[in-house]
Amino acid sequence: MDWLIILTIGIPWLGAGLIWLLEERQSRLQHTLAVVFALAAGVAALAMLPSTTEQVELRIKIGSVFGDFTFVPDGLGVFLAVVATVVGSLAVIFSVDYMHGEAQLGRYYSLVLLFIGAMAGLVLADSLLLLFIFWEITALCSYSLISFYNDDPKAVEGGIKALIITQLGGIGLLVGALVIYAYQGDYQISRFLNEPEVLPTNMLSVMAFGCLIAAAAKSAQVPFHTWLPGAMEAPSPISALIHAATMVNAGVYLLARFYPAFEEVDGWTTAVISVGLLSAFLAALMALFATDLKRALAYSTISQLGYMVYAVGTGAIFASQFHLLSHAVFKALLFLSAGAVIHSVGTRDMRQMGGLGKQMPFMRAVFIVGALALAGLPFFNGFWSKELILEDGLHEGPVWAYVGMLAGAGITALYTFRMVWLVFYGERRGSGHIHEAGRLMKLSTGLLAAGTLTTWLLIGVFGEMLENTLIYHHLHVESAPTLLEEIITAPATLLALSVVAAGLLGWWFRAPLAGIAASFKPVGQAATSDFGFEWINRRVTDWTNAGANALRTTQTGSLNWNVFGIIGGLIVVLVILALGA
Amino acid sequence: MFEAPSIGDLNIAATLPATLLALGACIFLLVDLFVPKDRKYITALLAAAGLLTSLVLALLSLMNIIEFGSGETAFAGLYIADQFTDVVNVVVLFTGLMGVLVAYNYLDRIGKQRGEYYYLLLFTTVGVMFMGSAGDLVTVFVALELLSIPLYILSGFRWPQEQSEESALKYFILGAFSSGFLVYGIAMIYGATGTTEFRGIWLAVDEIIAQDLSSKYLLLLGAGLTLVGLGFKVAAVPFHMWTPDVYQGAPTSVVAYMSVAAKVGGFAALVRVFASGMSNFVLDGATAAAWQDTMWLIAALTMILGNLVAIVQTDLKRLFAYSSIAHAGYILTAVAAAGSAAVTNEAAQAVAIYLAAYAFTNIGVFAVIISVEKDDSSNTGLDSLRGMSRTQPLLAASMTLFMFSLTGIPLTAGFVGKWFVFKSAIAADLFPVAVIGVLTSLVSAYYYLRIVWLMYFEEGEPQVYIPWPLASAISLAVVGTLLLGIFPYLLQEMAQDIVLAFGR
Amino acid sequence: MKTPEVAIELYILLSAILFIMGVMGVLLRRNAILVFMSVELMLNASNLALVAFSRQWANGDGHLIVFFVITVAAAEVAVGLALIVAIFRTKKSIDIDALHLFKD
Repeated sequence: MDWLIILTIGIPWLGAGLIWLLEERQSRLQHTLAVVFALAAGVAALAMLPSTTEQVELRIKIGSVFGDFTFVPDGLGVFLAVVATVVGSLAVIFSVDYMHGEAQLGRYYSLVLLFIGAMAGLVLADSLLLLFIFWEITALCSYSLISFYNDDPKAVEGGIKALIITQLGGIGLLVGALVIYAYQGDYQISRFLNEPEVLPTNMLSVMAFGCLIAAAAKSAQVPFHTWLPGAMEAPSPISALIHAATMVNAGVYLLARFYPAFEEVDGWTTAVISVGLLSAFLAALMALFATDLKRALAYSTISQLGYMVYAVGTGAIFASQFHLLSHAVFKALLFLSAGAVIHSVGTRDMRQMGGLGKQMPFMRAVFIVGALALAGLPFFNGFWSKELILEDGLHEGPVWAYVGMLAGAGITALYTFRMVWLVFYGERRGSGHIHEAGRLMKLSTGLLAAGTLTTWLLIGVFGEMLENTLIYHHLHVESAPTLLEEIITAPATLLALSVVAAGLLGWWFRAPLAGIAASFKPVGQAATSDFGFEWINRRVTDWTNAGANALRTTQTGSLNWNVFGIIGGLIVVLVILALGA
Repeated sequence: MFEAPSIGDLNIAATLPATLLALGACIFLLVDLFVPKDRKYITALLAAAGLLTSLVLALLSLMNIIEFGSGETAFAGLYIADQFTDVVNVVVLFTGLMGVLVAYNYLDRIGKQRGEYYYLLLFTTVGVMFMGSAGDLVTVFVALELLSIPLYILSGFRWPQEQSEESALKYFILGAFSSGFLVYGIAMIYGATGTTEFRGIWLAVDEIIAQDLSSKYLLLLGAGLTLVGLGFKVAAVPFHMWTPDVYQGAPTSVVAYMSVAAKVGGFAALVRVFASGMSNFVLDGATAAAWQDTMWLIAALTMILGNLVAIVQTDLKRLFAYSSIAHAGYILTAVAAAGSAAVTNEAAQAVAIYLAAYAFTNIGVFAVIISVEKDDSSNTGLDSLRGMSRTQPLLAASMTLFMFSLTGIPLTAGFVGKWFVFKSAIAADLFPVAVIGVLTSLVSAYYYLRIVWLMYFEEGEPQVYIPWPLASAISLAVVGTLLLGIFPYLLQEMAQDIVLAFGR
Repeated sequence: MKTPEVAIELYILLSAILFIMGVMGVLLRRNAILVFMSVELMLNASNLALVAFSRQWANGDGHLIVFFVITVAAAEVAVGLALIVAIFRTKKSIDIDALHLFKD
């Protein structure tokens, strides 16, 4: 077991190093090596599945204040490691076609493999300090890959923005690590979950909200979500891998992991539910009005992550992780097939597309599979997991939140159909030659489409695995048939389905409803302007700059002013000292 | 009144690395008279050899392979030879060696290849070493001046260039002014306690607190004045205003050296005076030393002002002046933490670790600036780095590493330093300061990463000049930054034996 | 002959007055030499306090520091005057307000 952990993290990193060393012109070899190492990591991660445990399986002694670097391959960790490596492999396979003939392949593949290894490490680590280090490595990889086309100023800006915002989140995690160490003497998460009482109440809430900030920043939740649309400048396989299937899930993972410890903190669950609700609802609206295909998908990712965060807030850990699995599969599929379309059309603007279904039948088919799962239609994997979240939300969470989430589901259906229609149906609005995607592109999207149709069958195995190894969460998951039956027969499902259907009908009868749509125009404008969050971002940077400039004017080079500063400082120092006496 | 100790009781052997270097500096001063003008590399080599010898001795002592002398004190208590001394010695001797490496070709370029440079640098180094090993306020004062006076001269080394002269005079006037405060502070502490030796002060403070003598007000005054004097040396806000001007005007090779050495010296003395001598100065009803509040307030101000003003700088030397102010704030956080009795040693270790990590990175940064600077000391704007990744990929990569380290990104030395500092702050219940520290690090990411951006994502054809001594200095800095970042326990091992608090 | 006793407080008061005069001198004077002399006044105020305290405590530590301060001050004078001379040669002025090459 311990060597499997080392392999899962080590193989991609070894591959990253090797590819980095290769000459730039050996591009065939670079492609091949990347695929081989990514697949090998996937196999290593899959091999961990049968033997998940809640015990510490690997302990690297670093000593002194850094404590031991421990790894616990429990159900949650291994599951996410599998997602990271398997989706990672498919993204790498897709890249062979997508990145064909691009310059700097070595940098691209090394960063992707480095990321895969770090992501696996992040979810398997049991030391909060180690988790923080992996967390930062993933952020750095994400930054470098967003800015991969570094001659494009938008790509660079997007990368910097993503890095700064996720760094802000990293602070929450760092503070958490310091607090745990100060009171517990080491960084072991499992020890902390077993006995969260070692922290005084106020420290526990500092840590709980610190982790919420970290999670919101990493998972692009309101109000930290603004970096994700900007991150869409990255190559499409990167959007699929990092910004849909893996890294953005790290926040949800963090919340789910620490849920047992923070559950009792005053106002924490409400805060989590609110963050989830706001993200799910607002981002869905933004997706409805987006014109850029990848940005629409990015908003939809924020929205779906909002569902997972909401589920954690209501205590439905299993539902949130199950939706995470479904989402990772169908969103990777959507991003990859969107990537294939963009690759072929040469633009990301949906207003320039339309009618592409005729030239790209295969991509149309797989994209629609993903879209139906996203909309939550039976019996795709998105249906089961979303219904599970909504059902648990109805029973365990507040009603206002449930209503919001339900409305969000309707909007989700609406924007999904809009997206499919604009891209694949109607009249072609742009010009230029369209070619069907390459063989390897078809292979990876085909596999993901198959996954979208089938992963819900794993519900029983998955539930059992989590129940057995997440001992601090006290999960109770029903057997597969009971669960499935429950979902189908629950009234909540019917309610949700009718909302979805309403969304669908809304799109179908959009012409007669045009009048009503016009009255929603202000909403549309607000949504396209990102509900002002982008504005807040700008203001924060502007204010920092203005403050810096104001301070600068006090820093004159005049000698007398310097002397005056020293004397003033002395007086202040003496006053404070005197006050203390 | 006085009892003359015999030579054997002085325990001179314990001070070997420092005294040897002092002696060497005096000898080189004479030797240099006979070195012809066009062969000053001989003086440079001698200086480097002297620094290297002392560095080896200090390292041996640090790793406890050889213990020089017997016992921890020398010169009748004026000098302390403990683990902290060893760490400071190693850091500053390494910095001195780097200082020679970055200076040699630079001096040639600016037409100032003179022997004085090297032995003045040695004297400064000795000053820092004595500050780190001070066991008495007298030593602190004399060492501070031994550190400062050569630096005043070095800042003006490029005379008759106006900027250089102006920066030297500014530094000198403000430096002399602040050491006036220090001396008056020493007088007050002496007046309150009747001694200048740290151990004696510590015992006297115990008595003052126990009997609640009114001399505690005198002691407070002394602490405040001393804080100003030393705060000036480490460039703490609001005693920092000389820093940008001096850094911008002084020759870059001097700045590279003094941005680290003066800080190491200042902080070593701060830790010795406050954490060691006055850690038990706990007034009624308080839980920490009386000076802690002041210290953390200054730390917070320093971090905020340094980082914010750095954002709007356009000159590299000025930008890194503010950056060095900001880093002084981080170290001050740890010094403040030392005010809580339970954390004193841990905080002193954090200071030592941060200084070691900072030394490698910062001198590397200035070495890169030297490489782009033109002979007439122009071209130190941010623009001079534009597009460097295309013409100088290795140099750009090194600079990127330094920027990451200064930001505090994991796997670099800077992260390790920040980690220990914030840990000690939290252990001392200074939670708000730790949060300010972490938040301002985020602000610092803005201007550090902007430099990375300039180098990688903008067009430009920077001209660089990297002779081998400079290249080897940059490589050493890179190796150090990476090594300490990836194997943090090297620093941890080095610092864990530091015990500054006196036992009862 | 019996010497009249002077209370320690008076010495300290005098030294404080001298010190503050020195500080004000640095703050208000424009001429580099006068600024420098004010700094010397601060150092000498400290010396007075040290000697007075030394007598009070009846030990020699204070006297010892005074010697060091005097020596170091002499070294400072040497360097300081050299710098002032150098800047006078270039600028033809030793007004500290003329030191303003650096601006943000």
